[in-house]
Amino acid sequence: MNKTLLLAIFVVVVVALGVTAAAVYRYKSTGSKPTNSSYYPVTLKDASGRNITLYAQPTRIVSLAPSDTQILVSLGLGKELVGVDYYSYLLLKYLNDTSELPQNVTVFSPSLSPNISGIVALRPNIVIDELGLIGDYSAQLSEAGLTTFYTNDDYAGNYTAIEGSIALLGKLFDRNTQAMELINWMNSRIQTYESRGYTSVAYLLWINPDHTFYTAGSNTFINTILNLSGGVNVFSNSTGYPVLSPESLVLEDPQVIIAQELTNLSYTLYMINTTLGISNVSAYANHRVYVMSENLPTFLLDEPGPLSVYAIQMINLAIKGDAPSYISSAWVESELNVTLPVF
Amino acid sequence: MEDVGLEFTRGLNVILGPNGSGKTTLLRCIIGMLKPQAGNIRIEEGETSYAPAEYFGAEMSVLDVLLSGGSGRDYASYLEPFGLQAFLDRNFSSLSTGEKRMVLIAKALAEGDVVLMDEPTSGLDLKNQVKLRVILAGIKHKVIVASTHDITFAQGADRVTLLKSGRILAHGEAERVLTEELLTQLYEVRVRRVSVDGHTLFLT
Amino acid sequence: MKSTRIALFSLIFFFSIFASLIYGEVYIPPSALLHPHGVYSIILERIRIPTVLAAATIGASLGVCGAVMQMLLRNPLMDPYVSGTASGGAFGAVLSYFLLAFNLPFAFLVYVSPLIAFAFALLSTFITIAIGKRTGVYGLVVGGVVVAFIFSSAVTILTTLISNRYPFVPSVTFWLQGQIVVVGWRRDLGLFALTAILVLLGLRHARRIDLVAISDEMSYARGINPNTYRYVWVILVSLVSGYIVSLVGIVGFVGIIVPHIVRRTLGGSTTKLVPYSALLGSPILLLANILSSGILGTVIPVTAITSLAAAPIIVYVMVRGIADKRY
Repeated sequence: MNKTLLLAIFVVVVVALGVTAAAVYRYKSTGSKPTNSSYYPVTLKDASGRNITLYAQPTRIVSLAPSDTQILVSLGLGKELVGVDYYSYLLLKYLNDTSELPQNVTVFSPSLSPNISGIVALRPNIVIDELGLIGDYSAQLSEAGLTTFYTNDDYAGNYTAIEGSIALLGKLFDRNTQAMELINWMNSRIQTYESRGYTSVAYLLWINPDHTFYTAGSNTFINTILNLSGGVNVFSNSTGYPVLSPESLVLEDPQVIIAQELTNLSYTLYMINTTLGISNVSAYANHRVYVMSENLPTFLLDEPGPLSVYAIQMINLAIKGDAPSYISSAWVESELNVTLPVF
Repeated sequence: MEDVGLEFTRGLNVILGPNGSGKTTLLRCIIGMLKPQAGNIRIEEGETSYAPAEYFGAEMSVLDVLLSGGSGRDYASYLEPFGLQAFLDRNFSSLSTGEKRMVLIAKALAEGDVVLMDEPTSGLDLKNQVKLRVILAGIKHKVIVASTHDITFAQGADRVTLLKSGRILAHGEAERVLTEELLTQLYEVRVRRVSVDGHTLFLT
Repeated sequence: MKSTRIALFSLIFFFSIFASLIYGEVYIPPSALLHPHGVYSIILERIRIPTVLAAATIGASLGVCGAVMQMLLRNPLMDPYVSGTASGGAFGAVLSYFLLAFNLPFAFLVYVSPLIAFAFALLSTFITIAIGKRTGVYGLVVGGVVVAFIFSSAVTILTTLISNRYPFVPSVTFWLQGQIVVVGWRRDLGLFALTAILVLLGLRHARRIDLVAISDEMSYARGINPNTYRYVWVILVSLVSGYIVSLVGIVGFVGIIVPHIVRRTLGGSTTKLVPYSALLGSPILLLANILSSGILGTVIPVTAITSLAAAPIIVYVMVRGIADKRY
């Protein structure tokens, strides 16, 4: 036999083996719990409008959004989480709840882009994330052969939407009872802390070097919290997360200003103090400016999950004037006794 | 360039040489753009001006080109012989190559007591070449130094310097310098000098 | 005919100042301009008026800087950021944020981030000159491009790292975007001084700049060393544009487009370019800034709007101007 023919046969064999291996790998279902129940398969529509089908109870879950992680842990799925993002883990650390996760859980380092090979290496049955966080990378996750299910609670205008998300995840994971219990828990907390009022509040998400600032408009989750805490968002005639100038702040003249910490307190205070026209804003003149430290307080307010009900209480205390001007993680922990219920 | 020892006086001084002989280099040394490694260059008195072979065709009026540099001199007497009065409002960049060169030559003649010109006849048509030669012949109170490889232009000079590969071959009155031997040596082609109707012509 | 164009430019200038005082993120009724009261008087006095003056001054400055650079570098597409000032300044500012974000030594520099931005803008200028030193006109252009690439890449790296660490925080692209929304009186003083110096020097040196544009040899003959002359102007332009970047970020396009419009309508000598680029640069930036500064519901980077607004103007001027080469 001549050399060319030999080479050709060799190449064909290698390619065939490669293709077979890839096919076997892709269709191998790993770690599925053999179950006799007829609950699975289940098909549900996720927040991106896709129909996702699960054929068996997932035992390996990856969550990339802290709000979703809260829900999953609360539904009793903590031990099934093989991989979480950095901030999910940080949040659980603050709550001293890392024991809810498996000992060898993989924590992905903070990054705007998901560590796709890292996720694939965990061989998860399903990956949960927020639509707003995954963005265009969703295509890449699908390409990599991962089953994904997305929520979209960042733009939840009210708690009904979030509770809908919880119910949906409960259905997905055959945890319907627990989902109901979680929803009830949240509702009772909301009723306890909820108060309606007319205090005008300006929320400063981030202040730019020229003192223009990002804030939250009417269709955001933060706006919902402000309303439930007894406040009125002065910027509710905007939508999304617009950038506004101090002119608007002076014009709206809020009674309370709540600002997220700009990585460190003295810099935050400096930026607020040097904003043009600030001395004429009621909130500033009456010492009603509250800075929320990053980490726990920011998590509670920014993450549309079950723990956000504590944010209602936190903001309410600020609006009533019963909060310190620097709302620190320590204060929140001791004052609010933040606990994530696990069912 | 080597061992260049020259003196240029009032009237038309022409530096004649083939391409790459160092004519432009010499002119650039005179204005201070290039520094000689040894020796010095002295301008006895007066302002220096330069009419370049290459320049940027700027988008401004001819008048603005003439006024650039702010010398404050009077250009009027130099515009007329060149027929440039009608051009003052025109956009410099829209002129033809020859017209642009004439503007810069007129500017140099008006502004300088020592006027340097790099290949002034290049780009000029026959009529304008003649015009230029007539005008230059009439200016006796300025030191004009013009580089060229055009022998006919050199004929009208008061003094001619032959420059070959950076060395001076000869320097003196046009009559004495523009000889068959020297020109043949300069251009490395056989040059013949003939008289026709009282005019001297150079043929190859 | 020419005087009507000048009159038109002046009219546009005054109209744009008036419009900018009224229209912005907060609408201030014209009656409040005459009799300021309450909240309007605070907004006007502390924020609106100094910001409008800043925008007018910046527009004029950038127009003049662009005009001078286009002449000296013989390139109609030059802008004031030719020496890499823009990316240098942006890098300095983002660096100070980076130090803050990661709690590194010198994190306190964020309090003087405009100063750091300015320092790096100047540094980029000196690097550009060092690179381009030998090779005359093109050396500066190439040097500027290289410097711009280096600093832009560095900015990208830093902002990515910061975004990773603080996902809740909007991308630190403030300086790259450019917005003239809030400038106080204190900063205005510096702007006025630098712009006045720039315009006055530009007028005094107009004829010389013209000469350097036409020919290096002619410049030497007149006693001007064109390379040194260019460097001095690049440094001055970088001082002004670096200061602007440190205050409001990178405001692009004005420096390129305004001199073009002046060149086509009034003539391309520096004697015309300097005063009229200043006169036209202000309204173009002011009008773009009205749209940029929140009137559309959120602040939008001003460069996006200047390019959209100026494009039809330049198309019109170019199409009409091609056939007509007389001034």
